[in-house]
Amino acid sequence: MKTYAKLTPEGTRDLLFEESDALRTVERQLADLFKSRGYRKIITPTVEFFDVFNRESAGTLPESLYTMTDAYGRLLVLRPDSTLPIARVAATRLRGVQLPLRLYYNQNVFARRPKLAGYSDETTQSGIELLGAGGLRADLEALTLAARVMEQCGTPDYKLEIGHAGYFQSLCEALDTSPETVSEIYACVESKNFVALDTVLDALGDTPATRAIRELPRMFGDARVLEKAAQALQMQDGETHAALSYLADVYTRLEKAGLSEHVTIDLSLVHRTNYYTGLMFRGYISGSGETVLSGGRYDQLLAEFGEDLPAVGFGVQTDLLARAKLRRGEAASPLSPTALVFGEDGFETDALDLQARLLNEGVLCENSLAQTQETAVEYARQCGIPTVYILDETGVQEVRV
Amino acid sequence: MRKLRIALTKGRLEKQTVALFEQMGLDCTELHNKGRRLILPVGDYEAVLAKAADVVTYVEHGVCDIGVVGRDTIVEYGKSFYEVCDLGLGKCDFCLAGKKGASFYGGYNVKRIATKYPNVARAFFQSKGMDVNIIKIEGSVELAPLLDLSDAIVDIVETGTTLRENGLEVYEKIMPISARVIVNTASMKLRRDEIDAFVEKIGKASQEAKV
Repeated sequence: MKTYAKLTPEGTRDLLFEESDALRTVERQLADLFKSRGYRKIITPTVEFFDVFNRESAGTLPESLYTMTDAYGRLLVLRPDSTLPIARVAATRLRGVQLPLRLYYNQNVFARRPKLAGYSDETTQSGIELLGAGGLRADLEALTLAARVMEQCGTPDYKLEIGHAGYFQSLCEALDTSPETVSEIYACVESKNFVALDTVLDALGDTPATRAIRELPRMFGDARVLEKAAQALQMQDGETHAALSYLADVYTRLEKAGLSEHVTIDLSLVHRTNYYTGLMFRGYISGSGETVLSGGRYDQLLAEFGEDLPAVGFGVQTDLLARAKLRRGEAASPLSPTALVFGEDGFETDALDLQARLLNEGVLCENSLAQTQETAVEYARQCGIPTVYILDETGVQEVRV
Repeated sequence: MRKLRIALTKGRLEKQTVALFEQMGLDCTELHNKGRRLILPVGDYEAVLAKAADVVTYVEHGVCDIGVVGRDTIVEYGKSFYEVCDLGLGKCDFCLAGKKGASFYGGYNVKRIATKYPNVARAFFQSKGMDVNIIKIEGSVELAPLLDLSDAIVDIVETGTTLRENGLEVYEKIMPISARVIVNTASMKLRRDEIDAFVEKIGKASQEAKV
């Protein structure tokens, strides 16, 4: 029988040395950013019940899930996302705690992605969820924290793009058409397929809402976009205007925080995960063609788990940030030992004691597994370790290589 | 920062795109004398020559910022990027075609469809609620109905000459196709001004070419 013992499944990979170091560095930086602001770490199971993700609002495509069953035949999935499990925890075990609840995570997520296209099925994400707080203050906390993330782990020319779920949603409601058509429009806008979008809209006739949706592809840039959209909008619908003025408000405050060169507005920002109800944002860095940060406000999701709480959060693709760092040559070179300890027969544990003492003094030190002094010194020479400590009945002898 | 990188579809579309570039006032000498090189400087840009399906892959991953590619490839490979401009080049249609005079929709047997574009074919018949068997063919798809491998084909049809000469006809047009300018999502956000300038210039050049 043919075996696959020497392979990893498609879409997964081993991370060695520089790669894993770079990833850990990014993860540590993010954890420090989050912890210092009062976010506490949460770890959820890798395997969850399918029901956690099986909801209209999650927008998870069935073909993208890794599924299996438990001993009772109940459907399980490898988590495709961390926000839903955290919503589950917040609505159950964390019910009734002092609000707001600040949580951060750093864990892998799984999704079947198109094969032979250079994507990973297993990716690493870090992120925060700020639960039990609605409104501008919480949004600004999340947004500026996202900006800090991009500043520290991204490139100096990063962009943070903001949009509003309410704008697109209320336009779709105004279309007054079937849910199927709306989800088709969603898909077109999300994949930026604006030619297909026109075809769908042509069938709906010419209304203020279709006109506004047709304009979406051009509705991104700086704050002027908002004025342009407001003027072009021939609708009295309060919600679309409210979304626009909220974004204008957020933008002014981010401008004040000195972020104007990084922040752009995109009214065509929609997300397959359609649990977002208000502000949405995404982060981009040069050197990565994919979105590295993505988040937004989701005020109705926790209610689906039985606890009606507003929330905002974002996730960061730590693997993409680490890879971009490596490519830029920014990753810290790994520390190599500066000393080697070798104990003659009968002095093996003395050598290990000395290693512990040297490590305590901050000397990066390796234990030699050689059988003789000569091979230990030869090993040090090959590895470029400058000092060898040899222990025998005479005590410690220091050899310069 | 590196130059904006533009992926061009090799072959017929390449010549037409180069003509547009020249109309934009770009220096295309290197493109004309390319030899076997695959990455070439064009004015302030860098051009990459690739097969159509690879153009969308390069642009989706962001290793090329901009691409010029046929709509057929975009629809078939369904990737995520901005489609910003219709150049009006290489116009043709996706069509359902088969033997002249045969009634394709008649009978209760599950139809067999030969195509180079399985995703386009699947979506088309799905929208009709029709269950079909799709066979992927790599070369001249027209052969399949002639050899009775399939009941019909889904393919791009430009003039229809090949169909006519082989006793085939178009049953139904599926969608019109032409060359499009596509842009990587992240590049669009990070280098908006440069990209806008390029798109505007090439859009104008294609308008002038049409006149």
